[in-house]
Amino acid sequence: MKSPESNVRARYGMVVDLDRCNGCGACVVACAVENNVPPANGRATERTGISWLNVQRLEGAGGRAAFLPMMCQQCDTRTPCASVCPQNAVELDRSSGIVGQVPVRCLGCRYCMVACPYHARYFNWWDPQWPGTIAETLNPAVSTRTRGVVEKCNFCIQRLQAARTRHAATGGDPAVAPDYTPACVEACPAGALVFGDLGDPQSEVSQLAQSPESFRLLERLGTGAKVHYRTRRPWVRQAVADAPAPTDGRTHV
Amino acid sequence: MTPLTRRDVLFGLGGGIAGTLLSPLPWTVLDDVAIWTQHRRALPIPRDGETSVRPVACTSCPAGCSLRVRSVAGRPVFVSGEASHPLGGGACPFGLTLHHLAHHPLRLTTPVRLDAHGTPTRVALGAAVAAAAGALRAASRSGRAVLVLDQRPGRAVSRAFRELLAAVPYGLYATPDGEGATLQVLSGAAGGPLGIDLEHTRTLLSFGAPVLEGWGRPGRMLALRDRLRIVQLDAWRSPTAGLADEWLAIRPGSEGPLALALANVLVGEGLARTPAAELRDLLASFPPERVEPLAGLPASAIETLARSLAAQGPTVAIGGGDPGGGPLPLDAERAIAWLDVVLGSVGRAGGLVARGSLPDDGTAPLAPETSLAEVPDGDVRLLVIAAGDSGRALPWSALGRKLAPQALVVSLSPFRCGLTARADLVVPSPAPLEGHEEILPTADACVMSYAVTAPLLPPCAESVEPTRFLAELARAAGLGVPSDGTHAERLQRRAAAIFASHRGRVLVRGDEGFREEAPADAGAFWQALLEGGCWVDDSRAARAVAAPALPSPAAVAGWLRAEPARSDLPLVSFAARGAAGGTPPSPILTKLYQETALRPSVATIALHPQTARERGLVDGREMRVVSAAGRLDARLRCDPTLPPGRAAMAAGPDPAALHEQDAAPARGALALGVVEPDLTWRGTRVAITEA
Amino acid sequence: MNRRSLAAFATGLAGALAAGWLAFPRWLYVSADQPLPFNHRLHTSDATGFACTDCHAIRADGEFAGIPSMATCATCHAEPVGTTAGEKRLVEEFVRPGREIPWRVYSRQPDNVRFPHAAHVQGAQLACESCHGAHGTRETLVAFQEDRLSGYARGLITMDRCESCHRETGRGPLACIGCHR
Repeated sequence: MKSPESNVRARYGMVVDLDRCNGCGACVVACAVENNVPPANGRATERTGISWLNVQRLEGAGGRAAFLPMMCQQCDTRTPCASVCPQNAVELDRSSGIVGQVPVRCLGCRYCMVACPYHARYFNWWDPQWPGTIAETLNPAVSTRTRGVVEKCNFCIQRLQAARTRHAATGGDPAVAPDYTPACVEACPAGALVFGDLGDPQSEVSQLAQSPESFRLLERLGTGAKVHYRTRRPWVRQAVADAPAPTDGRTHV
Repeated sequence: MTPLTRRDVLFGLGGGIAGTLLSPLPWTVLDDVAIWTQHRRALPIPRDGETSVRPVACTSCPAGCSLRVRSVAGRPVFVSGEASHPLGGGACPFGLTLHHLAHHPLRLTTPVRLDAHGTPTRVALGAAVAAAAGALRAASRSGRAVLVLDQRPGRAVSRAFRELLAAVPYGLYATPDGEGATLQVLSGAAGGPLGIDLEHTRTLLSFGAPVLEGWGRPGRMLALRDRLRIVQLDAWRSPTAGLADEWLAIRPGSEGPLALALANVLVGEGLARTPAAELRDLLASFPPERVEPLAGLPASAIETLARSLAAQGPTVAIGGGDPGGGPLPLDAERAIAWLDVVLGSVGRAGGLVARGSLPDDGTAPLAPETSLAEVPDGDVRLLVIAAGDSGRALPWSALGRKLAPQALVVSLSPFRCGLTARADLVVPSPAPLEGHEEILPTADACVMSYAVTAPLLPPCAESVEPTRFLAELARAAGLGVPSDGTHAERLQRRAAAIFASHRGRVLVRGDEGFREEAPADAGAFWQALLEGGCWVDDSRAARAVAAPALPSPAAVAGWLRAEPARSDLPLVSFAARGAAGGTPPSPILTKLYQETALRPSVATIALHPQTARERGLVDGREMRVVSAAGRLDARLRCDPTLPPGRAAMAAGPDPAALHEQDAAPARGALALGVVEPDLTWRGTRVAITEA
Repeated sequence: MNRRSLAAFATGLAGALAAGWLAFPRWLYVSADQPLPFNHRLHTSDATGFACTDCHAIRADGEFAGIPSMATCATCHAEPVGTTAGEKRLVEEFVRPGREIPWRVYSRQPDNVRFPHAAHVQGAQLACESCHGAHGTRETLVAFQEDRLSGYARGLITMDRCESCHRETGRGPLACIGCHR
């Protein structure tokens, strides 16, 4: 089900600077805190745990390390997960460009997890449990999920909603897409994450995405991902599979 | 009327079905049942309400990074760092979960007695104070010591401890070694505290200090990263080693000889900036060829490194150890300090510069500061573990050996983990975000600064501010220590003393950011601090430096002694700052320690694949790891970045402890660490066999 | 089909319709009393002159403050200002002990539904009555009836009403994620 046009058209995207990321993991933790992702079950592993945003380590010569934050790449041209979902639990929202996963609607077939080429989707194998009274710190803007549903990064759409609400309350123009900051971008102490409207040619994210050092993951699949990565180090580009060499005259964002 | 036939019933049923379908009954029931299946009573639904954002400072480790806490309906729900803070911003995963700590299952809200298994039973404050006073009197009677371990020295409460100890016949105030150990060796020679003028440093030579991962004030390092050349000398591929400009893999325990070898090259090639006459005799024993087998670095590499340190100066060399591996031996720090002297980095821009101290705000006599290693074994009758986390590991055996028979251990930390799990009594202080705390500069800061974080939440009814506990203890023990007011009043007096000194400048927090402003009076200054402002001292003039202490002859002999071949392996233990101290990590940190491979788990031990092959050990299998201090099982993780001939294991946190209500049995490197009399455990060796 | 069969069919039909349209709602919806009898008309009359948003406020960040807290009532009713038994109960059972009044909320939606009042009231200039009905002119509160299966109020706005308005006006989210989290 493709949604018809509404009055606002934005394409929120992100540029991740691999030269600045130091693998501290602040973004991973901020995402889990903001989105009410529960702590792992005792039996959870790297495959069965839930981290909407996770950081991979890339190995270089001489023990050098670089780090790759991975989250839902918010595909645009082709959204494999949306096209296979039997429940319409995931949909590309044209007003923001966000591929929105609605866990409440999901029935847990995990077909989308098979379809996602970036392995950016996570299944709730267990009911969430927050030890002690940590449930007091949950964010009311995000629903908690039961076991049996899939979840993934939604570019903190609850923050976009809050920004739109504030925008409306202060008499803002409804045709203008408001600025907002996802939790990971807010948390990164190294400034490695830049976020904004890729459709706005003046925005920093749009200009960075079009620079020669920027590339997308698995470009050959033509998903039109809205998460771009950039690095000036050739070995990092090499370590990230399929990254094409930089060309001048950038393809469209 | 004829009796009902089957046909009648069937037609009636047909009508009934048609009627039912035309009524709301089946559609509403389907809808409502679908909605009913969505109900999950077990799922928490957080309360909504008004949103507010407040600045606080993190108290998980000494960096004191400035944070912004977003609260909904008065409950903190999200924490982020503040990059633009004048003292350096940024926050790590521990700071970002600060708001979880008050809710942690290991958090204590009332005074408790812990039994041998660490199970708590509630006690009244009066009973706890009486027990501590009894131990204090017993100590005085029997000539035993009262020891306070303060892992965050320099605070107002630190002063309160020292005042109490001065009134006791044999009172000891001990602080563990921290990341400023090299600076401390030099500050003795400089006659005052030193900091590092990183803003003008060109090369930072780190002997295993995690300068790019939780060191100093992380925001400052991040801001300076592009301007600094970082050379990391590390026994394993630490996160800093992976991110540094250059990583040289050295053998564990070779920091001292290597520092001397570098000094040897600098002096020998005329690149030394100071004569260092006292050192010449010693340096003759440490030419690069001699140190090559000790450090595992080719002599040519040592020479190249030394020349680059001179060519790309100003260069600062630091040790300090790492939060999970413990401190370097004092003699290694002395060698590194001498390297700094030879490099000429003491008392010059881009090097080690003088730093002021906070003005005194009291006149009562204070017990002097001692190093924990200097406390005699078996001498302590009452041990008080102060609240306040250094963010660094301290194995229990380092403290336990100091205790006399029937010693009483009282902890003031609100978290039942780490050292506190071994205490007899716990009188919990307020949890993070619940009380006032001071933010003092880290060891590397080149100017003194002062900030205060105000409470965001009301404290639990029965948590006890340490100053109050001390006042009650003094009263119960009959000590004539004046009670100096509440914790907040003490901080306010300290702020007033800073204000009265007319030094430095005050940065006030406004809506647009920080601006410099002179407060009208001490009250306004205190208010500015409570609202998230800070005070920054003036820069100090460079200090002339006398020669620091030389490494002891015994240590030098030890470095030069040929080591016999051994089948067991040196153990490199490590942990991120905040992961192995007295503050438990939030359960959400399973995201980093269990659900991803980003940080190694305490349940694994790493070996180079070749080292594993030589011992017939298979990657991924369970291993039995034995040291002189303990044994445990861990899964083998073959890691080609770990140099051959050593094992590496994390000292914390334990993901299992993130799940369980009670502190898990000790796992990880701290359970294996063999703690020497100088309280280092870097010499630990382990034997690994298949379990 | 003969007349007898038709009669049987009609009987069944009538019975089922009666059960479905009359008996079923009476069984399904449980009446529950509001904790206090609140007179909206009195509070919005010229004597007191409150508008909807004086008590049911929208905050500066656009979030809706919801049903007013007991503190709002207490600004005028710290002591009884009238003579009704209901107000006496308000002061004695709630204001003095500092208890929040457990109002039953007609418009309570499931947790995963997010409704931004600011976008509808200030943005689309919708009147409160267009979705909530004319509470303000009533002297008694609308009877609260709860669906015993789903747990929500009878007559609660459902998604098709939101979606049809968004579609017709061309404003407001149409993707699921726009309103559901």
